[in-house]
Amino acid sequence: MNTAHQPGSQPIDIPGSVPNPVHEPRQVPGPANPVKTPTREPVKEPV
Amino acid sequence: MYVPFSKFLSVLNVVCPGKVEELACSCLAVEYGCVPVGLKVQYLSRNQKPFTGLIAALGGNIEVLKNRYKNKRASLCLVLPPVGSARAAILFLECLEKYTGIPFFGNPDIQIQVCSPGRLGNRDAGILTLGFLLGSDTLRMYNLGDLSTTFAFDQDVARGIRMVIYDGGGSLVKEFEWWDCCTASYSFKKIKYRIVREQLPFSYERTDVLACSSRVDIENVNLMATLLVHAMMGGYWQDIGLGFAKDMTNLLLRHELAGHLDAPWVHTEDKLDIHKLFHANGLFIDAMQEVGAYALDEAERIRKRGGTGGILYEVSNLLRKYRLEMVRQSYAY
Repeated sequence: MNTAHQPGSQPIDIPGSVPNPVHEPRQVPGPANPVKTPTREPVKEPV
Repeated sequence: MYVPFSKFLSVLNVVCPGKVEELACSCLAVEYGCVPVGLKVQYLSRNQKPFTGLIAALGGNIEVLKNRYKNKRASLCLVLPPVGSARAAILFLECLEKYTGIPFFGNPDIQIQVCSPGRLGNRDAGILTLGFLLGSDTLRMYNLGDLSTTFAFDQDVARGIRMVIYDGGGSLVKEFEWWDCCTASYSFKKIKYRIVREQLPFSYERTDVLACSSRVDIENVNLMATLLVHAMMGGYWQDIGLGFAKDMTNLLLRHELAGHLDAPWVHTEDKLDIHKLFHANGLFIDAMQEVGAYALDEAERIRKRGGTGGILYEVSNLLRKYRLEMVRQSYAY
């Protein structure tokens, strides 16, 4: 583990290797309201 | 020296005939005037078992592992014959993955050395090293032990400990296309013409990047080595090669890192001066670690803010820009 410190910022611990954020797959935000699974209404049969 | 390409094809054909057929068709083809790609696979694990069958099929230890050059931590160094493009190089390694049953990409036990024709000067070697480091899909903090080779302190071909080293004075396969250019005046305008030469304009000179570990690394190194060597030799890509070197220098300048290009990025003399070499090794690793730490620190601060940007994005965008420009100009001709 290495540490890096730039003037004006807190030192951070740096592991041996980290994924380059440029190449990391972006997380696609999910829909605001969860999509409801369509359900079939029971058919009312005439009595 | 290495085992002939035809021998590799016949051995690998047993496990992946489809890929081998594709490789056989594309192995000598040069793409977009890029330089050919030589490969060395350094296997850092002590357990040689995955390679035993391959080495036996290629002719045995004496035939396959006769090269005295290797990473000091490697149990074996497999030298592959050069191919015409980064795409063929990746395909070649995928066939070897299939044969040995171990991953070659993203494997901490494997270092892929990418060899390009021509010896770049120190400043260009710095641009190549930093472009490779910051453009890679994994950011690594290297130490001298990771990069030490049997030629580091060799009496005849001392290379020091660097990410980028020159050849050991061996032979070079020259039978690949080289895109040259000439200019002619037409209606008071200077027009650039492409001349495709049948051989590379080098006798044995090479510049190698030692620690590639992914497909992105191979593609990036091939792109940058092409641009920089064309800029140096006055080849077809000279103009955009000079533009790339200028843009990389300006990028480093914006991040107060341009001074680092004066560090000793490649050892240019063959003779061994042990004190000088030790001192230069230290300067090199300090410069590389400083740039790496800067990039990681900046990326961490930007990530905490929830944003994007910074030196890693800038290098990636620059490489994309020049890759697209080469493709565009190749077709525009």
